[in-house]
Amino acid sequence: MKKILGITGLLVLILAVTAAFEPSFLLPANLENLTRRTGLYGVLAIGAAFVIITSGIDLSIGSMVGLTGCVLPLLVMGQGWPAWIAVLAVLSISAALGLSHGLLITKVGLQPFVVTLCGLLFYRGAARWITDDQPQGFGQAHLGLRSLATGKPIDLALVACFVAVLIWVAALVRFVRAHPDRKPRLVPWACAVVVALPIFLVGLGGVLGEREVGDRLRVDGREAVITQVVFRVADKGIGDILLAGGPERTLRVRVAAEGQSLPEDDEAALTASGQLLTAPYAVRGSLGTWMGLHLAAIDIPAPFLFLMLLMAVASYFLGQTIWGRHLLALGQNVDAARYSGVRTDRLVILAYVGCGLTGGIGGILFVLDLNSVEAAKHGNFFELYAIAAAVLGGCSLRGGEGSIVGVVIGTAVVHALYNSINLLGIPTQLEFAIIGAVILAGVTADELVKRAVARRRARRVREEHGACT
Amino acid sequence: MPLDLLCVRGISKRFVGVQALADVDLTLARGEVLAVIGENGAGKSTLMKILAGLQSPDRGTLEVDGAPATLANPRAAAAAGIALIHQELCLATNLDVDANVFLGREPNRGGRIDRATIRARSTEILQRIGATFAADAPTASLSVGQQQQVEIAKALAVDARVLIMDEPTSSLSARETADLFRIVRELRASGVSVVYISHRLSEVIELADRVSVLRDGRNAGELAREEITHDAMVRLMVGRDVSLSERVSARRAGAAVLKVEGLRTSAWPAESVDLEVYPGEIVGVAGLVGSGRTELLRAIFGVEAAVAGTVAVEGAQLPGDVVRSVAAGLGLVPEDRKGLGLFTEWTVPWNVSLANLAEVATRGRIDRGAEAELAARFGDQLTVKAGAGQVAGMLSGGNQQKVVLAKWLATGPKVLLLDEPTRGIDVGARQEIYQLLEKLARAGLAILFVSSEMEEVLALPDRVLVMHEGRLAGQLDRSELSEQAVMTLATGGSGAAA
Repeated sequence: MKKILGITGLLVLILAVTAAFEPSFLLPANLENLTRRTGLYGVLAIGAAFVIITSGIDLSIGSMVGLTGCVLPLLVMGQGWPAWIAVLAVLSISAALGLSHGLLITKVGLQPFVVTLCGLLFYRGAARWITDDQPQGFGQAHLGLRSLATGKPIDLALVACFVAVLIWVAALVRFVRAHPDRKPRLVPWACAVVVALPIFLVGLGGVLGEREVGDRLRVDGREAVITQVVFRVADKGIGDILLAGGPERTLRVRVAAEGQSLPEDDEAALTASGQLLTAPYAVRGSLGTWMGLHLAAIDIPAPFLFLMLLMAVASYFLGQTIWGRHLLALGQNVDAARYSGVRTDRLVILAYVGCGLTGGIGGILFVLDLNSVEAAKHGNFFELYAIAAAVLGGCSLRGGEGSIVGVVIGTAVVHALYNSINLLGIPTQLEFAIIGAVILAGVTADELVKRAVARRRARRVREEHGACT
Repeated sequence: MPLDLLCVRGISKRFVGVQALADVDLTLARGEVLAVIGENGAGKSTLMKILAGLQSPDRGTLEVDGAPATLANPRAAAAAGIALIHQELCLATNLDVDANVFLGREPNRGGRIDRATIRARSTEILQRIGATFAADAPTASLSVGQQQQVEIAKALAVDARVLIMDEPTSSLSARETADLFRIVRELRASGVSVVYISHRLSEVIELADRVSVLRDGRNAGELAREEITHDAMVRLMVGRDVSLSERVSARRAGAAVLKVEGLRTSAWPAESVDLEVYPGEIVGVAGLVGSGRTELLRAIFGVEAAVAGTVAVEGAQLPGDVVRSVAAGLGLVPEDRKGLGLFTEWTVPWNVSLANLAEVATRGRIDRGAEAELAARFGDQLTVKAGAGQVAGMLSGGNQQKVVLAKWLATGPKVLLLDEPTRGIDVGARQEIYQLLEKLARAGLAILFVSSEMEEVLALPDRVLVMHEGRLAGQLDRSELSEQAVMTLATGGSGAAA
C-alpha cells in the first residue's frame, strides 16, 4: 500500500496541474480518451510486470501487438473466420509465442533480453511479410466486435451504484461468514454500510436521470429529440468548473413542427424533419441527482473496464496466492527459491506465457480501437511504455518486487503526461524528453525514499539489538 | 616487559543508541600474536576499525611505540604501520598479483609506473611469506587462500608492523589454513605483531600468545598462553559455563528413515555413497573441504541431479526433485545462508512459511492470519529475535539460521539435512542450535549434518561418517570419536573402524 502512495501522488499532481492550466482537460471526451489509452497500454504493462518480477524482461511486446493486430483482421476479413474463433486463434498464437520464450529461457538457458529481442525482430518481420506491408483493418464491418475496444458500456454513475452494492455485499459476507475467533470490527463496517447509501442514491439518480442522444423531451411545448450533448468549459477556471460539478452542458435538439410529432425510429426522416435548436440541459431534482447527472456524463471505455478486471485478477494472483508468493520468491533469489521447493522453471514459463497473452489481448484491443494498422509501425516502442509503466509502478528490474495496482497507476501517469503535453501546448517534439525526465525523477525519488527508510530501520534495529560487529 | 608496540587505553565508542565500546584497553607487544575473541556484537570489529583508522573513538587514547597517536584515517593508520586484512578479500581480480600488492601506491617515475621495481619487490615479499605463486600470476587464477597471501603481501609492502586479521580462515581449506598459520608464525618471528580475530577457538588455541576477550563492548578478561583453553575462552565470552550436555546415544529403533544407495554426485562421479539414517539419530559428515560432502547433501535433497543411485525416505524412493523431496519429508539447511537459504528482503513470516504455503492456504489463497500463526509458532520454538516487519537480512547470523531452520521445521520433516549449520554464528546462538537439534532428534527427527567445525563433529552426533575424495572413508561411533580418528580418515588414512 505504501509503495503506491508516491506514484498515486504523482498522478494526482499531473492531473491537478493539467486541469488547473487547461480546464478542457475535464471535458468528458478528453477523460474518456485518457482512460481508454490507459486501458489499452495498461494491459501490456501488467504482462510486462509479471516478467519483470521474475527478474526477466520482455522486449517483444510491441512486435507482438503488431503481429496479433495484423493477424486478427487477416483472419476475419481475409479468411472470413468467425470473429470469436479468430480471437481465440490470435490469443493461442500469442500464448504459444510466450511459451516459446519461457522454454528458451528456462530449458535452454538463454538470457531473457536476447530471447525477447529476437522476438521483437522476428514478429515484426513476420507481420510485415504476411500483410505484405498493406494496412489492415475492418472497414465498416464488425462493429460489434470492435465495440470491445470502442464501446463505453457504463458511466461513472453506474460505477457509484456498483461500488455501493459491493460494499454492502462485502459487509454481509464479513458478518455472515466471520471467523469465529476473529470478530469483524463493527464500527468501521457499520460506517461503510451507512456511507454507501448516499453513494448509491447519487449513482442511481444519475443513471435514471441522464439525458442521452435519442432521448425524447418537450421543448417549448413541442416534441423534440436530442441529437447531441454539448460540453463546454467556456473561459471558466478550474474552481468554477468544480463548483458547478463539471463542464457546462447544453443539448442540441431537433424540434418537431407545431402540432406535429417526430417520426418514430426513422433516422433519415428524423434528420430531415423539424428545426435544430439548442436547449438547456435542465438539471432538476435533489443535490444528489444533480451530482449523479454529472457523474453520468463521464463514460468508461471498454478497454479501461477490461484493465480493471485484469488488474483485480493479477493483483489477487500476485498478492494472495501461493503461486504469486512463489513468483516473488524466485524473482528475489532464484536459487533460494529452488532450495525451498519452488518450481521455478514452471513459474518463469508461466510469466512469459502471461506476458505473451497480454500482448495478444492488447494487440486485439488496439486493432479494434484503431481499425487501421500498418505492420511496419503498429506497436513500435510499446514494450518500452510497458516497461516504463511497470518500473514507475514499483517493479524492480532486479526482480522480486512489484505491485499490480502500482503498474496500472504508472501507466496512467505516462498517458496523463502525454495528454498534459498536448493540452498545455508544450511542443510535442519534447514529448519523449519530458516523459523520460518524469520517469527518471520518479524512480530516483523512490530509491532515495527507500534508502532513507532502510537507514532508519537499520538505526532502530541497532538501538534494539546492540551494535552489529 | 619491553615497550608495547601498541597501547589502547579507555577507548569508548557510541553509535546512535548503542555503546559499542566502553573503556576498552588493549596492548600489543612486538612480535606477538594476540587473539581478540567475543560473540557477535561484542565490539571486536569496531575496535579493529578504530585501530585501522576507519572510525575514530569518542574517548580514550592510543599510543604507538609509547607516543600518543591519533589514527584519524586509514592513511594515518598505515603510516603508523597498522594494516587491516578484511574478512572479505578486496583484490582487483583483473590485475596481476604484483599490481595488487602495490595498488594505489605504485612506484613511479613522473607518473609512469615502474613495473620492474614493482615486480622485484613483490617477488621479494612473496618469497618472504613462502608463497608458491609468482608475482606475475593473474590474481583471478589464485585460490582464496592464495589471494589472502596477496593481501598479506600488500600489508608488508608498506612495512606494516601490526597486521589485523578478521576471521582469516572462514573460507580457507585445511591446507590453506595450515599455510596461513605458518605465515603468521614466520611474521611473528620477524617481529611483526598480529591481531587475530576468530570464532574458531581451536585456531586460537593453536596460534595465540595471548587472548583478549570482549563482551558487550567491554574487556571481559585476558588469558595468557598457558591459560588458553576452550572452556576458559567460552566462559569469558559468554559469561557463563556452556557445554554440550552428554547425550544418551540414540538406539537405532526400527527401520532407517533415510536410505541412500549407490549415490554418485557430479563432483565425484566415480565414487558411490551408501548411507542410512535412523529416526532420532544425529549423524555427522566430516571431511576436508572439497571431499564431496556438500554435493552429497544436494544430491540427496534432489536440488542437484545425481549421476546414479537412489535415495529413499521411509522406503519410498525419491525422484530427485526438490518439491517431491520436501513432500516426502526432507529439508536442507544450506551452507550459504544468505544466498540459498534466506530471502533477505522478506520478513520472518514470509521466510518461514515459504516451503509450507500449502498448509496456510485454502484453494491456493494464502491466509495471512494462519501464516503469521505458523511463523509465530516456529519462531517462538526457536526463540528467533526479530521485530515485527523486520526483514530477515537485518537479523544476526544466529537468528537468520533459526529462521531457515524454522522454515523446514514448519514442513514437519522426517529427515533434516544441514550443511555447516553454525557457520558465522556466535557461540551463544550455536549452543541454542545444538540444543534444538538434540531436542528434535529426541522427538524422532533424523538429522544428517555436514560440518568442518571439529568441536561440533565430536560433540553433537551419534556417529560420524568421514568423507575422503568423494567416498565414505569410514564411520566412527560415538565411543570411537576423536579428532585424530576423524582427521586420519579425512586425509585418506586407514580408518579405525570402517
